[in-house]
Amino acid sequence: MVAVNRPENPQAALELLILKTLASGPSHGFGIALRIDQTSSGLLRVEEGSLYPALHRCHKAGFVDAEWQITANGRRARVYRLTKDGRKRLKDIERSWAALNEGVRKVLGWT
Amino acid sequence: MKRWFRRRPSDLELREELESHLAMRAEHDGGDASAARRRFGNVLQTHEAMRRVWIAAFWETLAQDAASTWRSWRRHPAFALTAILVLSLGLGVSTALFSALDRILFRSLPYPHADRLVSVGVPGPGSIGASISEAAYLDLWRPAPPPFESATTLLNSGKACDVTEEPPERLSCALVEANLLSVLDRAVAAGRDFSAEDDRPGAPVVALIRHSLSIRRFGADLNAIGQTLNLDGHPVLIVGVLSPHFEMPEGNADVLLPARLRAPDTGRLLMLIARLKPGVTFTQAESAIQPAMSAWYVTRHFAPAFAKTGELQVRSLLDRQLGDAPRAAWFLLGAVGTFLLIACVNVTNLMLARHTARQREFAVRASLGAGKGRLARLAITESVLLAAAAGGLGLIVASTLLKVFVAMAPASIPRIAQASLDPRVLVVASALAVMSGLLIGVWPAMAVLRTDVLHGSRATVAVRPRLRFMLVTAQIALTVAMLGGASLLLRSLWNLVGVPLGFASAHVTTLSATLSDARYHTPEQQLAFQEDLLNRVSHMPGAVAAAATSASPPIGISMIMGAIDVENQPSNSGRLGKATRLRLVTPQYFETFQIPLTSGRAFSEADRRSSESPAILTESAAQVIFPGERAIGQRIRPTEPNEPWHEVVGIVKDIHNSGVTQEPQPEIYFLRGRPSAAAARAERGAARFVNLAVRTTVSPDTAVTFLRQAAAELDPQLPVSIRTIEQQVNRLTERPRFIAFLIAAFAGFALVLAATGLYGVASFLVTGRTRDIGVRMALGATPRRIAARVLAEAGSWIAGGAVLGTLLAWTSRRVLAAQLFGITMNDSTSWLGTFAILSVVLVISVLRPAARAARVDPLIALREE
Repeated sequence: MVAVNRPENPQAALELLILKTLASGPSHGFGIALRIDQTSSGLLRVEEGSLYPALHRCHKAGFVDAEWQITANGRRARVYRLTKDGRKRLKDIERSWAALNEGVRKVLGWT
Repeated sequence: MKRWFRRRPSDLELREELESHLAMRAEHDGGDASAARRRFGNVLQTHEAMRRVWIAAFWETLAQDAASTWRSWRRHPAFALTAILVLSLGLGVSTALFSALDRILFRSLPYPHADRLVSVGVPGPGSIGASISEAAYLDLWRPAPPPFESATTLLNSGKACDVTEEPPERLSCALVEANLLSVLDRAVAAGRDFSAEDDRPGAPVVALIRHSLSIRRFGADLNAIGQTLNLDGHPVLIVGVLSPHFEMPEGNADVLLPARLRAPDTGRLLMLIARLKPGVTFTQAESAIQPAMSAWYVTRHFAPAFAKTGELQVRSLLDRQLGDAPRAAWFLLGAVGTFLLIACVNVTNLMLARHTARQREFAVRASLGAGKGRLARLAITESVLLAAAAGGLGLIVASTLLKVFVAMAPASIPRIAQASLDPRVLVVASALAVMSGLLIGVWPAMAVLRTDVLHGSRATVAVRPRLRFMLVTAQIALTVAMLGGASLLLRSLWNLVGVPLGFASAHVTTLSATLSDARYHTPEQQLAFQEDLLNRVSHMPGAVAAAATSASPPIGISMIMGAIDVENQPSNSGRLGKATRLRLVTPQYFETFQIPLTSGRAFSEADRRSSESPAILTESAAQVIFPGERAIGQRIRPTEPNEPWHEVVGIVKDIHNSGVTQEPQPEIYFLRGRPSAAAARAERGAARFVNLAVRTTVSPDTAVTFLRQAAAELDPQLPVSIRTIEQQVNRLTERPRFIAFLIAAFAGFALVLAATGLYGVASFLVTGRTRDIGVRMALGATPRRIAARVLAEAGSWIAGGAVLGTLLAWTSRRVLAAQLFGITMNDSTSWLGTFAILSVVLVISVLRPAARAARVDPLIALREE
């Protein structure tokens, strides 16, 4: 059972997207936004204003590590990397999202 | 671990990160910086949001957790109330007992360098502190021998004395040596200390008075200086006022007067307080003074036997004040600690039970993004809030209980009356609350850490009863130890109360009073009053026998003699192997108390008119003074100048004159109230102490009323206290009663807690296994077998707890044994009783869950699938 009517849900969704993106390699905030944009074929556009607080929440919770690095363009950027906890966390939310997804599909009669 | 130390990024870093994002966006889109900014939204707001992630989170989540805890308590008030009540009871009782015992266990004497203050003397029997004879003190301790820095004495630590001017009042006057304050290293608050001159015979009598007395009588301490106070008809000049915080080493005197010790040759006993030089141990000090003391016994012709028992002992002054109270105090503190532990275990179990019920909630929270750390924090917040609420309530419990303790506690527990919830106790109470909060929070928090994020279609409630069963077993074990201790103590109290005291206490009522020297000037007048009163009392309706005595058994302090002379033997021959009591009694004394005569005769009325002074010895006194000789016909006298000889006319049985658990002490009876001036002097100042005892055939109430009336008719102003001997005998067993009562109360509570704990776990077990039971029933198990299985399982945990608890009690046997009388730790009756009560109560507590298991309907249970 997954509660769908909680205000936390959008945050959980963003968290899932962030962690999933970082699972394919370390990246800075802009890179994450860009990649979500691309991989969802433009269906999901990340609100850049909420991306950063969410990143920092993940950082604080220990799901990601952060480090200042020089990008290929010679620019200083804060680069995030998924931690072991983050990987585990990702698995957990993926599962509960799958459950939610399935539930919603059933309700909508799409099966 | 790393996550706890995750560094918080600085504001500068946050800004730089956002700037870097904007720059990359501008570069990527090929646009300018303002377009990137527009697309981003409110940069400042985002910056603020990022900052809040790091900073405000702690307090915010705390407030959230607190609010969520409060909501959940409101939803489940039974849980919250039970947990808070149980814990506050544990905390309250611990705090109250700690504050009652704190002064016994952890506070030092209120004198500078009190660790060097010692009491030196020959140990007295029973409750009587060590003392030294005046003669030995004057010969050996002036000046104090090395390794002592200084020494002082108290002749007495407070006797009744009366102010004989307006307004009259009764005070307590102590006779002390002039250097008392300087040895204790305390100064007077106003005026001056005693000087050596004040202690000399013939000097004007001066006094130091207590601060409260100076305020009461003179308004301020300075006003008191130079005033005279009429004490027992004699003017006394007040030269100094003691500081408000000054405490006497013993007693509670209002007025200190110089003792003016006389030249040697007296048998008076002194309390000797000395200050050791720094770095000297008690043992070193003891061996340093022993040779001089032994030599003194030789020069004074004391028998070697006496010299042996008369060795000086050096112990800390604190020890002397407290006696064996610390041992009882530690015992009680251990018991209350165990009780608190039981309460904590009980609440932990409750929290775990609730945690199981809340697993879904936790799982949902976890699915929605709450980290495990966050959930564990929620659990700990709940336990800390619980402990805080319980701690607050506990203080109320404590202040109430403290009043009960102080009222109930025997006077023999020193300093208990001063106990209060002072800051020090509050600190300990808070520490206890925090500690128990953490203790009860640990397991629930760990259980939370094991929570799995919900997945799949069905919520499975993990049945993990092992921990809860362990906790219940631990609780049962602690309860067994407590219950065992309680039954041992109760049995031992039973033994104690059953000890024959050597006199018959039923139907005897006593009257005691102290005559003021001012209104009854001479010993003759004092004795005349006593005779009058005795005369009236012996003619009261229903009186069988009545007697006046210098001290009434069992606790009246009779005089204690250091040495006694026997006629035709060298003086100070040390015929007393140990300290002996001297009691002055009128002829009917032995009849009143029904103390049997073993040989010779009792005192008679004729003796009171005769010029000869008779004496009666107890069996043990006869044995000590005349070992292997015939005592009757011999003549003895206390070692004092001008004492007449007393002829031994009879021997009586011993009585328990120094407490129930102590061996009877040798005792010498002299005849009271012989109407000669010499005899009155022989009362040695004791004539003013009125102790009347009357054996009646009427009810004690009637006797009490009559005694009060008789005394009032003779002297309406005289304050008297009237009690039955039985009341006084009960006071002998006050402390064991107090301890047994407390432990029994703890054990009773502990048993109730253990029973509820076991009930909770058994119910939980049955609920968790409903499906399992359904299947078994579907396969043909009878309800009876199902119930039996539940009972057997609970039984195994009870048995485990009982074994553990017995072991636990065994480890504390040494502490416990010290409190026992007449039985040992292995007393099978006590232990069988413990196990019987335990099993009955605990089995009853699991009957309902077992019955519920038996009623499970397999159809319903399986349909829930």
